[in-house]
Amino acid sequence: MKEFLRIALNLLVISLVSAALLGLVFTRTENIRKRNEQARLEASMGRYLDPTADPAHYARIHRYLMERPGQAAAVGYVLPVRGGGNAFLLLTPDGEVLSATPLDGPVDDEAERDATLARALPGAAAHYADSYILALDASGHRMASFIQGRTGGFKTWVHLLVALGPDGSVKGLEILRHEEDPGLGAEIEQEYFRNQFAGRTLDELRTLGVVRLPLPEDYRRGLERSRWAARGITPEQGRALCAPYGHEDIHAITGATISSRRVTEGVKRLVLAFVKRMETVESTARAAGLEPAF
Amino acid sequence: MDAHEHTVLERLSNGLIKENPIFKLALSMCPAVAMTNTVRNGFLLGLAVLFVQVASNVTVSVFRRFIHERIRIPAYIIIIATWVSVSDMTLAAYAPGFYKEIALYVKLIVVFAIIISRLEVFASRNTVWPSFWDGMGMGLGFMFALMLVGCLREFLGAGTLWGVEILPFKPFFFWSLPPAGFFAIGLIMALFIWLERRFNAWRAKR
Repeated sequence: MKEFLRIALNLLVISLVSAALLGLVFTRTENIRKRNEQARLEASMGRYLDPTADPAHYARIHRYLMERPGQAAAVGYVLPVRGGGNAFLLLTPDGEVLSATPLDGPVDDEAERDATLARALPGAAAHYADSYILALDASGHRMASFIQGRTGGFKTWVHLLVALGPDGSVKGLEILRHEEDPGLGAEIEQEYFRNQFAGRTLDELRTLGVVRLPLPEDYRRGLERSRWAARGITPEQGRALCAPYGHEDIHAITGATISSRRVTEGVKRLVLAFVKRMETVESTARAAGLEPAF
Repeated sequence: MDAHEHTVLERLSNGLIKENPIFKLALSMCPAVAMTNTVRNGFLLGLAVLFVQVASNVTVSVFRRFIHERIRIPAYIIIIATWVSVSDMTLAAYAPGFYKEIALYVKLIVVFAIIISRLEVFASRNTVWPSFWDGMGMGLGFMFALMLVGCLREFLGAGTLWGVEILPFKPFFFWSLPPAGFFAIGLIMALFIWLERRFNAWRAKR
């Protein structure tokens, strides 16, 4: 019996010391990590904006799936409203307005939004889905849109950032976070894969597929934009290299067909849903008495 | 075991050659097969293992009298997991660029057989200083083996070394795929042991 207690106590002390150390390191590093992630996101978005025309601001829209006790599931949007502040627009899955609630707290990161939403809608459970970020110029004109979402990869979630032009065509794809296998699925980070999405229009995306064909060498050289300068390729030549292939299906990464397919499906799903949802939000927000700031 | 038998050089050569984790102990073969399609992957995984091995070895050796015999395995796992999580969080905060490269590898390490086996075989029975060098030797031996396998596979599979183009074409793509890791490790292991036997025979003759 005494032995049993000593063993339990021994393991308890080890776990406590370990937990204290982890807690200490976590509290010291978590905010810095969040800031790093935010900085990286902004740097990623900056790459798709015209450097000569600085955007006046970003409008951030966060989509939530809402579970309300005893009621049907609903979709909720955290929207910035004119004159500062945010509001929560609750819609049925078919796009009928359920309610519009002004939010009184900060909504910058996920934890803050959870707390603010819990105060505004007591009793409901909000599940974060994705975020839309609109880059607006001084006159409120949309310069670009960014979809921050995720898709299933080969093993776990792949977090994506899709940049869209004002006309809804894809400007580029960034992989924010993933845990695919190095050398295989992790190649989704590479330009020769990501940049295959640039320039796809909405109509093209609807029918976009993935082919298991070797990537033509000149196409690869055209896609690897960061190496254009080193290889003596001018931007015009680079675009010309991509032109013959730019409307074909996505060439899968060799040895990582599943990762390639999942990312392609994810981009298609995120973009097509974004276009549809933005239409719904824009038409219903005013009907619900909101003045969205975008 | 008497701590005075272990010199720095003896521990390093033990990890690199005599008890090389991959070619001799054949431990942690799963990551060694999966992660060695390029030299760079091998190096980064090796680096992550080196750090966790040294840190865990030192921790276990410091607290070896405190950890109860019956629960040493869960205790070791907690120690390894703590070091892995601490390095994961610290790198994410203070070296985001490097973290982006190495994050995938760091998270895998908790379950590596080589780490826990060194804690059990060496660090729990020796003082801090030899344990530190045992960790260094084993970590470097692991890194060396992974990079060697990575060299062979990257050259044959992609025609490159550390991402630098050596051949203008890809000789055998098969070598980039996980199953080729078994062949690569098997071949190098055979060569490694053959060379060592030749060397020992030659030394015995002198």
